[in-house]
Amino acid sequence: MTKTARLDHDRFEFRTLREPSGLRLPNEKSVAVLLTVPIEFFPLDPPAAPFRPSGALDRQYPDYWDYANRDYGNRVGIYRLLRAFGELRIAATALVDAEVVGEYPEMMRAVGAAGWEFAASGIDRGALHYGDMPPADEAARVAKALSAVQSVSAHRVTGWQSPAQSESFGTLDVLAEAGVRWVSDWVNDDVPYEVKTSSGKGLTSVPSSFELSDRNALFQHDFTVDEYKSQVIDAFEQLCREATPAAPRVLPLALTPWVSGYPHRIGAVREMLREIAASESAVFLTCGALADTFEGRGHSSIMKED
Amino acid sequence: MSMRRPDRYAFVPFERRKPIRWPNDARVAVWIVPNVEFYELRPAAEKRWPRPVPDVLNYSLRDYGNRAGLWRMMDVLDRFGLRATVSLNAGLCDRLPQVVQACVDRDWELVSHGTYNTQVLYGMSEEETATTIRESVTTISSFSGRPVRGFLAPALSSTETFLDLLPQHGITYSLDLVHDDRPSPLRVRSGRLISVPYSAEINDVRLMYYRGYSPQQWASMQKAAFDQLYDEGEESGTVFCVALHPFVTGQPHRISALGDILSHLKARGGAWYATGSEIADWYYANAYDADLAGAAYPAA
Repeated sequence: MTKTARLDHDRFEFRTLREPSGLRLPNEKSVAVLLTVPIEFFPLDPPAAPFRPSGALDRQYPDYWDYANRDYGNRVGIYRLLRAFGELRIAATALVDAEVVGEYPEMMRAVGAAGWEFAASGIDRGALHYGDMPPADEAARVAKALSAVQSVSAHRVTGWQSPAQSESFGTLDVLAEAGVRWVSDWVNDDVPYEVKTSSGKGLTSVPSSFELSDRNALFQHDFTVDEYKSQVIDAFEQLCREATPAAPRVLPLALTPWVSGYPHRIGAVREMLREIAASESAVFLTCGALADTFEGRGHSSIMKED
Repeated sequence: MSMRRPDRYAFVPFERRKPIRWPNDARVAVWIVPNVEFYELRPAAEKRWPRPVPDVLNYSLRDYGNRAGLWRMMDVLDRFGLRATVSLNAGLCDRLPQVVQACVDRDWELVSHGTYNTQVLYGMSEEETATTIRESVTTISSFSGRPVRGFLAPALSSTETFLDLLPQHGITYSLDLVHDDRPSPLRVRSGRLISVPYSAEINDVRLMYYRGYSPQQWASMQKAAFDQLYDEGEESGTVFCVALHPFVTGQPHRISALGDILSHLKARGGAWYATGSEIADWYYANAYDADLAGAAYPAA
């Protein structure tokens, strides 16, 4: 009887936690923590199709109330995250909607000045990639999104997260064609893995958070920030227990300006990051730095190591 | 014509049940049931995913269970020396054989959970249902070399008559009915079938995934349920089922809650840790006939 895995698609190989991933972290660290910060635009008139993602405005049009709540993140919340991460000398990865770039140039500069990585995240939260969308439309969206983010980035933009982590059947091929090196839509592993694309160009799937994202825990499920903090610390400690320098693990954490950036939450979030940063096992990496490390391209964008 | 009620089991007043005495006078029979599942990226039926296919987010979250979560759960169960009863989508035997092999290596029992969790029984003819049951049972038993004794319909789906078809395919117990805390005979067209209690209310996926309970709240509900059954165990044995999903409980932020629950159970002692067929066998040998005859203590 065959003992080889046979998934129902050919995007990547099946591999379990028991098998080596090929990942080694800098300085013999065993747990990489990836902070990702979505910087989003939620249109006041969101389309119902293909679906309304988490955070989409869902009151009756015109939903000023939720629009303003999300916009608070881009005016206020993001600056609290910049300060909190800055105190700990952590560079995050900004997942930027193209629509935000032109609208908030000063905020974009502040993010760039903090040394964060810029990655593209589609046009906005009303322009989802889905199912059998025409490949030409998707390629145009990807090109537009990449060029918008590239226009404010001092480094080459190599990363992507689809809006709401929703892909079409061709998204990964389109991304690789456009020069994207890493993608963080798939939430199926604690380590990165190689994705196969139609052109044969390399693409790395970087671990991504869904359940432990602040949006899922605090916004969708109404956890208190203390409950959230305790789950994140539990996850980190579990990964520390099972990881070794030869078999590292990754803890991805999505922290959203309009969720964690509120005054009633930022204190606990800062405290949570402080506790993680105090661990000898942890290294904070940007998604791009993790992908570089995984692909053996060195690791240039680590801030924590002076 | 639709049925008004399933009419699959008898009512026996709670106060007048013939007591169950488990082996070694254990107060509670405990079984651990991880659901090891395969969801298709492109299911044949529509609307098996919340989002349009490819629902990358939800597909990959479930894939996490097989890649990562299950192995963490195995570590915990190994540490406690516990064998599980796996509710298995038979498609894994072909798709992800190393996952099934790891369960077989642990001497875990495998029960059929249909073919894929994206292939439900709803709308199937009796013949199609029988084929699904037969193929899933055959696939699993030829992989493990052991007969398959239990069945849980994929994604908790059903047809009016699927229970009737189970005994013809070697199934002796069903996990689909959660009407009681003790096993009970089920009425079927031919042969014998019992229900061994599974877990509805405090299933991990329901509480922590869909409803957003914290792992601590989940653990506390599990412990409270066990403690209540333990206390009632002075009168009669019952079954306590810990139903698990590797993509839920196997997450790093939740796995310690499983250890917490099992530590609590072990510390109390007095439980019989068994697999589904061990519970079923014991029940058939010691209580089935009496229950079938409607045995109950006479009213005072």
